[in-house]
Amino acid sequence: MAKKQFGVIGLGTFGSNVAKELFKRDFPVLAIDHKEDIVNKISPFVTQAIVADAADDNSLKEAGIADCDTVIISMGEDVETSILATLIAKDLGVKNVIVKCASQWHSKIAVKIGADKVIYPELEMAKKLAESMASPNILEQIEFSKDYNLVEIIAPKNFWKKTIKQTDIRNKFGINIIAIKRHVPFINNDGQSDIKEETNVVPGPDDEILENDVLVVVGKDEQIDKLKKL
Amino acid sequence: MADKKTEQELLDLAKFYFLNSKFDEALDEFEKVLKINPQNWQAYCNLGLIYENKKDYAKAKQMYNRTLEIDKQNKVAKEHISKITGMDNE
Repeated sequence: MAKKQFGVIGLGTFGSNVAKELFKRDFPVLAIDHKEDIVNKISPFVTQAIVADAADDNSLKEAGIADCDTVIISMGEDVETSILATLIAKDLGVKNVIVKCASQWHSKIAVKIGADKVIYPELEMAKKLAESMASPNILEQIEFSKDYNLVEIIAPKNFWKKTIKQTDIRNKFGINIIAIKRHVPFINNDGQSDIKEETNVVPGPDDEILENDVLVVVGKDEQIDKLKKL
Repeated sequence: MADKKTEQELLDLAKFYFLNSKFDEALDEFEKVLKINPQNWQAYCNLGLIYENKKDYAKAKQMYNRTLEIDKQNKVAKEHISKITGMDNE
């Protein structure tokens, strides 16, 4: 199967990082911006970098946008050009168009004209930061489904030196522990001590939870809230 | 000479506790090392690792910075400061 080809239109901080990260993962990446200096700068880090006007259909067609499986449009601040680029990419037959939006109305228009996915990195990051401030023991939270979340939580003190079975977490909270992350001290090649993270994936009922362990759990919001308060 | 030996003995004991995840005991011993030799970068760096593990990031950063004041090229301290401050994503 041929590798998916990506196009990134708009090479600001977000767009250029997406392009570079995809290329690092061995995907062919076509990067487009209207500013020559920006295109020259990213050129060594992507498959092809082209100066083109994102609001001009011929320009994008010549650049080869139609050959991309997924196009990421990253011009949140220039809403008008972002909308035109979305429209052109869809008209050229790109199957998957992802648009970085600056506001809710920007996203509404993008979806209306055919964007397959809209993202708000700033809003998502703001939510994450607020959550981490409000619940410092929660390290990571991923929405699993509408009701269920996958959460990385610092092991509550009540669980220290207990096996998973002894915590009775499934009966008491309706939560499943799917991994335990532990910091393990070691001596590195230079003879200097360091700490590495080891993950026990799918731990058994007799596995012990220690101080400073991080539990990766799946459960409903309200059940995880109870665990947070321990 | 006797002082030096004591410092080394304490350092060895502290490392023994550290490697066995007995972080509170290790912390006490590393502190004793620093009382004898306030320039012992190994003690500072290990204290940084212990505080980081305890999620006391402010103290951990302070310890790593002290490590770098003495051993400017210390890789572990540099890496962990980057990790704490989020610069490792750059």
